Amino acid sequence: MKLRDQSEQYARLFSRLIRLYPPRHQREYGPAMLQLLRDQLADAEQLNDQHILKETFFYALLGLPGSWVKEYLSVGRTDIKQLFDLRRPSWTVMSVWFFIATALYLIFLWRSTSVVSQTVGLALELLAALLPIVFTFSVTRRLVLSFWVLATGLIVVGIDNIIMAGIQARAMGSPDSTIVAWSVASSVLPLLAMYALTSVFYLFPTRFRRPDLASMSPAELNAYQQQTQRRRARNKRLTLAFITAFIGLNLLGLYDPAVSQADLSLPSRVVAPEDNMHTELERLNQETTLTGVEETEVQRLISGETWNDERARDLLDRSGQLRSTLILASAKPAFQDPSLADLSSYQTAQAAAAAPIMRLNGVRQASLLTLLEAEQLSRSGQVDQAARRVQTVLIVGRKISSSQGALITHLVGTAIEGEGLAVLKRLAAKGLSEAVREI
Amino acid sequence: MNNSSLGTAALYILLTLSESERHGYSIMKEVERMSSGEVRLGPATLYTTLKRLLAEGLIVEIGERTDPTMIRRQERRRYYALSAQGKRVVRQELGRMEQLVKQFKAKLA
Repeated sequence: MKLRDQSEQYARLFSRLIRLYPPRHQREYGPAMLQLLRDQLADAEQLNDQHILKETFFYALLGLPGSWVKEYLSVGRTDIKQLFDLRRPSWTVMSVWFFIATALYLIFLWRSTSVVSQTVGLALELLAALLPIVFTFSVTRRLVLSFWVLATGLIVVGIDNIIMAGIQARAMGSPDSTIVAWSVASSVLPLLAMYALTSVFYLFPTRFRRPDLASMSPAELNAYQQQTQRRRARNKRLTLAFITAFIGLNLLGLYDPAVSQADLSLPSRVVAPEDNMHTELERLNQETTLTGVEETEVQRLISGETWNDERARDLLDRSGQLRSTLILASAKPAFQDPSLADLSSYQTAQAAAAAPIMRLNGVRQASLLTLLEAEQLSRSGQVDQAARRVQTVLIVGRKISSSQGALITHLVGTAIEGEGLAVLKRLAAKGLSEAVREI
Repeated sequence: MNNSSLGTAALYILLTLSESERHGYSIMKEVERMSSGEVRLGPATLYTTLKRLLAEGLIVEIGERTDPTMIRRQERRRYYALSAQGKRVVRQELGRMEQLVKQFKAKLA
């Protein structure tokens, strides 16, 4: 190939590469750049050395990538300035803003440790979220960078959520990829979409395939410029709306409602007398038959440490009424100490001090004796019947523990339930029928 | 402006224009000559830098004309010249460099 042809080929290729610049730069400097390359190539042709021609073109190509990046960043900066009509404030103003934002952030951190109203909490969080924007803008004077810093922070939060979701999935013993996938989808992907969309809007405000502006007639160029301006204005509106909506939604997503007094109060619940097992439990207290020593003895018999059939029968004969009352109690839907039914008359923290606490010794003894009966039935091979007795104890224990009464009441209910579960575990080892297992 | 942000290419361009007004190719050749081939500016780097220097007011465009010394002498070329602010910046930068050289020499001595 002749040097002249090769030179022309290089110039054509370079001309195409110039089209990758932003239109303004392409229009203002494209022809001059091409002219300069042609001058370089013409000089190289004079030396009649193909190697020098190639080297000249290679050096021209080498400068393109860095130049493209600089020009597109320059376009982005210009656009964002126009978009927000930014005026560069003085360093003093920005410093004052920074300190105000820092102070608000610190106040937020301090206040968030105590109970604050939702409105104040939300206002403080919004102000705190402005901190990275104000800080970055004060340093860089580039608002778009400030938003991207905020978005980066949100991505970090998103990644943190993913890690936490992974840990939770692991802890649950069944790694659930759906949880992780949802975390990614809900937190990180929208942020990445924001980066991508804003990049597209700022860096490619017109279109990807750029026309050869140098070859356009003045009328065509004018029409193209008008079209570009309309498209650019539309993109700016869309971008502004997108960024505003996006950041707003993310801030709402980050908003963790502050704890209010209402959250600390138990919901008011009044159990009707006919549904309340309180009457039966009161009767159990009056029918208490076991001494302290006997109670310990029953516990030993239930645990299976020692077994005395005769002694067990004796204890059970004495407590038939007690156990029947417990079965009646278990049939009632709920338990509530009537003295604690109207929570509005008590401050939660003062409830234990102000209200008389119901005695539950009789219930405890009736439960132990019912479990003793279960143990006896189990030893005589009636495992299913034994399981049904345990079920009675479990039901009573659960209803007491979830009665929203005083702490001691909850603990007694939990203890009754625990004793029942221990017996049930031993019964299960002996083998239960399918029907009882389902119950 | 902050001189440290001027950059090698920009400084060489300002130095070449301090002698006389030049067009792009002339600037490029002169920079290569002055730096003994150490600094080679391609069209992309040259015009991106020229654009920045124009925006910062360090150089000015003084119109188009032909250059009879060029092979393609019939073509019109854009000429650039150093502005008053550009001259001040060049002087400052050279002063700063002289100071640096003095300091280094004193250290080495």
